[in-house]
Amino acid sequence: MACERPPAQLSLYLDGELAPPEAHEMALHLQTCPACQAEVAAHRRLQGLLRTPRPEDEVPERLWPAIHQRLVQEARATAPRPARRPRHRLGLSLGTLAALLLVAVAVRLWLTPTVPVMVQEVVDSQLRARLMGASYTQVPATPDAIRHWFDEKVDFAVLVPALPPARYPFLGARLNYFLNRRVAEIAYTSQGHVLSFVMFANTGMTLSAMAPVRVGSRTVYVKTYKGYTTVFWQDGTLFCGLVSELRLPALLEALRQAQGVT
Amino acid sequence: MTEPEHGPEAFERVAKPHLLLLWRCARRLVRTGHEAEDLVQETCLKAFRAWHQLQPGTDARAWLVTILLNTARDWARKTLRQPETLGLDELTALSQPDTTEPARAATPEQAAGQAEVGRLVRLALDDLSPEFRMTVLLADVEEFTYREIADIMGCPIGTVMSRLYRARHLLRTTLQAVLED
Repeated sequence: MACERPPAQLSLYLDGELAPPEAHEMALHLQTCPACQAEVAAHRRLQGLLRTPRPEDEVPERLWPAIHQRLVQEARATAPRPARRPRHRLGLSLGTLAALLLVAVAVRLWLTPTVPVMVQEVVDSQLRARLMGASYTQVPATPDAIRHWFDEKVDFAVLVPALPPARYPFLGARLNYFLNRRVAEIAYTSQGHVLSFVMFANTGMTLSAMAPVRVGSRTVYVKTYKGYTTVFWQDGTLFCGLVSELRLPALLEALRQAQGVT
Repeated sequence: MTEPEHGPEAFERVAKPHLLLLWRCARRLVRTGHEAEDLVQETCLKAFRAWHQLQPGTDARAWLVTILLNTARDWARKTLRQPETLGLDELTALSQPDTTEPARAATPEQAAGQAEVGRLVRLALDDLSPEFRMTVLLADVEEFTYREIADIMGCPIGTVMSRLYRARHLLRTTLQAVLED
């Protein structure tokens, strides 16, 4: 049962942006409208999550003393002085600090690959296929037909996500080869973008270099790269993944809708 | 000689009460703790230099956050930033158990659960564009008004409202599993 009021009004009320007469009127409305009450509760829950203090929110003890020292240096440096040779400034100038930060970032990026090979190869294969105009094979959109199509092509049992076809029209199947192995790809479209489900054997590979995230009862590993979002998880001896130019909320939503994969 | 009422001690009285706010915002704007420290330091230095020009009665809180945001934007333009990837420090931090989690949980399972929720919230926020992320943080965590947020971010109030609406919607979608617990 939806409320006929514009949702913007409740947002304004929750943000304290309504003038007192309207705010009072909204408060009265809230006493009797379950839809708005539910919305308020959901908003408060989100705020609660956002406001939960995290360990990294603690200000490091050395921060203000370091700031104070810089300010003292600045005050000394800009104080008018008797005319004589300029004193050598202690510590690093701002320009040097900025340059050092730039070099440190560049060196770190150069020395340590921050994107796991798995993510790079999955995303690069999508890019290559797009650039070369590679197509998907049109298979009947039933799980059996899709599984059967992969029978002679990969040596593992393919899992078919079986996404609801109205929201995720089936695009086709494709056999890829990267990471030195065969990769099954089942593609859908969503919101004008391709959403690909990939599967491959996990021999000699690990997900532990990536950041694990619990979504419901599942542990998945998320990474964005070159404008693509990837979500990986393990299923027995297979690694499964979703890759798309859609952003993380859309991929997580597709994961929730997918039946037929654990 | 710098006058005492515009010296570092006087500035400390004005700025230090907002240090936690600046730190929280910096932590969400840049990738690592070290970068956040640098960002807050640079912000305070710029504020200190511009302090003389501050109109009396100006809200120091909003003024400092404005400088912080502008500085972060300048840095993002200058440095080799790949906006969509997590830095090595963050990956390391995310993959390690949160041993610094305050002892609020009754059981190890609860503590692990809280840490995971925190990581998911962080991922959901990092997935937003910086404008969306800062708008929702300034409104829902730091409780600035729409007018203040518009001034800080240099955009019309209507833009603040629409960014806020969309950012909250995106967060609620991504965090649905957690919010429903």
